[in-house]
Amino acid sequence: MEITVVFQIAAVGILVAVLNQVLIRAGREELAMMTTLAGLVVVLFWIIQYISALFETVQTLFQLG
Amino acid sequence: MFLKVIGGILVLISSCVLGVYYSFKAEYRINDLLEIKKALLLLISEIEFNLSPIAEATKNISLKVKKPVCDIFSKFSERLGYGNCSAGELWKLILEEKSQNTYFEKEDIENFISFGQTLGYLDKQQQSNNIEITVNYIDNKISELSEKSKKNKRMFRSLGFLGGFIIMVILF
Repeated sequence: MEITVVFQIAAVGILVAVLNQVLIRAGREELAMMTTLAGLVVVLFWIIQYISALFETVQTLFQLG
Repeated sequence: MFLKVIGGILVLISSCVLGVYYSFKAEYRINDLLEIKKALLLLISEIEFNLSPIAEATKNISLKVKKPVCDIFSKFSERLGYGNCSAGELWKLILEEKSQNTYFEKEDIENFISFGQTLGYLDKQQQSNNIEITVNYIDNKISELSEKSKKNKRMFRSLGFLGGFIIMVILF
């Protein structure tokens, strides 16, 4: 697993948090929530392959299915 | 890697510029509205005191106000008298043509068009009353906008920068 993806996720997390604060201060709560959701979706897309690898590992380890 | 960094910087710079542009857009709109308000007040004085015909009045006004509003009035005075459309129709045509050069929003343009519908056939008092209504709309819009632009200015700038940064990180 590449370590860069961890840093990328950390960067997106920080930026989305700041963006959220800026938008809430400007009174655009609904937009703030949309950005948070968008950040979440982007990060989920990045880690979905690792999650599926994890499930496969668990399956083979315990000889399920 | 080198190319990636250059691309990232370009994205960051362009989104920052976009943020700054949006933060100034409201101010530019206020400037344009003030300019057209000045023009309308001049038009009232032309109607009330000079009693000049509409082509002459708009020509005088176009000399006194700044761009891009002066273009609207000079074009209007130029084309009045040619063709067979009424003053209201011509006003609408020119506003729609020239509105690309201004920062007016759609509601502003619609308001100015409805003001133009009564141009040239009501009596003196009614015309100046009608202009007064448009001036009132402009005043309300300016006070509303200046309140909003103060709040939005910082937001748009930081939004531009942070948005650019986030795009850079996602694409990296």
